[in-house]
Amino acid sequence: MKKRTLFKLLSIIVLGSFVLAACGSPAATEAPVATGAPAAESVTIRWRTRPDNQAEQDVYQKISDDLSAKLADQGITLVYDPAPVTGYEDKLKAEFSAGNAPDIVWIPGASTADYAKLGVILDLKPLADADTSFKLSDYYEAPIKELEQGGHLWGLPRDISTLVMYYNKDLFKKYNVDDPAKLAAEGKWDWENFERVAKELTNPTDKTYGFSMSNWWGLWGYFVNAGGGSLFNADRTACAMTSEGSIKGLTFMRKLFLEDKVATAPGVEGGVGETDFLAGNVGMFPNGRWMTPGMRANAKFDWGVVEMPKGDVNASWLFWGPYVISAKTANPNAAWIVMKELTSPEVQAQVAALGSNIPSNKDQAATDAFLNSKPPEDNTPFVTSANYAQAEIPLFTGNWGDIVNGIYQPNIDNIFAGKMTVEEAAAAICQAADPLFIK
Amino acid sequence: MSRNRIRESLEGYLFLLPNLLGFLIFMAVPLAISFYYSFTDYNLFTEPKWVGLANYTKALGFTTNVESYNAILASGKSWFSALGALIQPNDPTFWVAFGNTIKYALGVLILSVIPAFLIAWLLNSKLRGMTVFRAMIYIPVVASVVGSSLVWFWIYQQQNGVLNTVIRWLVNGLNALIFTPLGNPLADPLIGWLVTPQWALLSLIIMTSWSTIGYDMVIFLAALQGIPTHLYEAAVVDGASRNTILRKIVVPLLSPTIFFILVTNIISSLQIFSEPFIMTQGGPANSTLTIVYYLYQKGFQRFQMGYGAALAWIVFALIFLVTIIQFRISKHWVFEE
Repeated sequence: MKKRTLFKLLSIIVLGSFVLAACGSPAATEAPVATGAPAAESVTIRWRTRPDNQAEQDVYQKISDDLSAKLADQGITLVYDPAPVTGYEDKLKAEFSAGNAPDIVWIPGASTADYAKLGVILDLKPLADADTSFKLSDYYEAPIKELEQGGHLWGLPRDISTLVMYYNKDLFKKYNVDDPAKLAAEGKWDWENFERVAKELTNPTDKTYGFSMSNWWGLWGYFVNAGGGSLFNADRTACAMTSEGSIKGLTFMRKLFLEDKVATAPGVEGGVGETDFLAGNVGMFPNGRWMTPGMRANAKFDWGVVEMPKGDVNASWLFWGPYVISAKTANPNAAWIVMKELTSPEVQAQVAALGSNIPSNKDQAATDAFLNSKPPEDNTPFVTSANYAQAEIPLFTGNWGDIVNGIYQPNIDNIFAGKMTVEEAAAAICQAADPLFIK
Repeated sequence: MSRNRIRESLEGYLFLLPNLLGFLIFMAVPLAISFYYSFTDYNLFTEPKWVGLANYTKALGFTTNVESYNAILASGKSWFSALGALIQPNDPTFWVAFGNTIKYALGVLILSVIPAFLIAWLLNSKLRGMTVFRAMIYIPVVASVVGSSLVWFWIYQQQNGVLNTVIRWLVNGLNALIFTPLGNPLADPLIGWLVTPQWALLSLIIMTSWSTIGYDMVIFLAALQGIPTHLYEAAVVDGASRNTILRKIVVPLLSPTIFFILVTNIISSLQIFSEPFIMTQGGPANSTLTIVYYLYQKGFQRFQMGYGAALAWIVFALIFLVTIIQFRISKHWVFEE
């Protein structure tokens, strides 16, 4: 009897230890060996992007296979592990939390700060510093500046995309309205002319409108920036929506929608505004490069792109997304080698040929691959906008979701709904948001 | 206890084990863990930090701001209008979500239960082709939320949506017949169903009611068919009108079913998530932000799992409270045979 009791007790202890071991927190990640040297043993690097369609996924799969062959002599095999657009970050967060995220993963630029603050992505600075063959200056400066916050290097930009104005050339011809590209060439593509052509295109009887846009920070943020304002103060520790420039930008935006009535009501991204534009009922629709494949596939009219109209200042967004390395990767050196390859001009040229993004590497061959990816006939507005565009902001001084999505956005919605004046909304934003910034 | 009896009990527990394990692993343990997390500051990635009731006081608590109150009074406004400045919620967004959730639940209740009852009443006959009508009304129940949400997304489209097109036809018709000859034609309202704060929540209520009516109708229909025919016959012999039969016989006998529908509808409505998630993402201006969608934002999008867990338990408490109240009130109006 005693033996049986002892046996039971031991069994419980063993089982209990299994449970405790399973529930215990994982060991802290060790910093990588900053050699940048090739992996000595055979390793597998799992990497992930968020392809929008099968064609894009096929290109990434081919890149993965080609790089596996190229890096075989270094013992590195790549496994491409794509994830769907819907719930992309939810899945990633769950994987980071469980400690089984891919070794290399693409994330949206604005999310970089969240992952860096949580310590789930690797600081690449030691690896980059130790690698003499690597030059950060090969990439566009703006995203690199954001990735180098606090003296670290949180990733390498996979691609960039600037905010430009897509426009329906047929509609402009139909109403005999000045072509924006011509106005831009003459240096007259400013808010005054933008408003004028939007009015000339608007015909409620025909249900055509001059302008439409999705309702998210990138779009109303353009008006803020072009008015001479900004979303945050210089060191991003406070709201700047009540500044003179921000108010001016938002006031112009409000006028387009509520007074001139040249624009359809803004909806969620990919929603009604985009559909109206694709249906040929809207003259101008601002968006990033990611809209180009959809335009190629679905637009039944002649279309082009032009830089965003100049307000008080030139403004656009430089959207970017980096590849980052999981802090729990077992092979940081091999992951670094793969990451360099994934952001090399050769690989970026293959992705750029798809037309959905601009290479983040300034190499001419990669840029040429992008410029030759047509339509639109003229891709240069995407590249020239990068010269003055404000980079998408990873907010290291606060929670982007709480501040921008939770406070800025609902108050901007109230401007569109006519429930608040611009001044009231801006004051409400700053009053609620300021306490949430980390000073 | 005899050996056989012990063996019998063991066998019984073994049969119970698969279900019990499933319940423990997928329900009881996660519930217990989420309850623990609700008292912590937890971001999913680092160790949870015990914060006691802080998450609950953040959601449910209020602070008083006498300075703001006095400032508003000094500006000449009434004490009533200054009250909002005196008592300020710790998390105003939670109360917006709370209000929306209650409005949504009440809206769905009104727009689904009453029409479902009336439809069931109409369809409770043995006319030819009645099963086809019943099936048609039930179809939305089996449609996936995502699929039906996308269809409604197009119905609600402002410029070219079906709903606004029908409204435009009606307005044009009325103008042609009445208002234009009077010199005062109506303008096309061009309602922004999903893009304006004043319409967005109602749009979701209409959509959910459309998908709920079928289920409620089937339950009502089954209950109606369970009412003995001799009661109708006796009432008709006594000269009761259809209306009297409805009020004096049908409704009382259906009261347990009505109660069941009310309870289940309110429980599911208070947990609304998919519709705002798919169609509006809580906007515009937080007008469709519900508690469960807010807890999703906090827990899964903004790395505040502790607060998200607390919100989940607040929803549970709310549902529990509402259900208890319903049971208490039911004693006064539900007729149990």
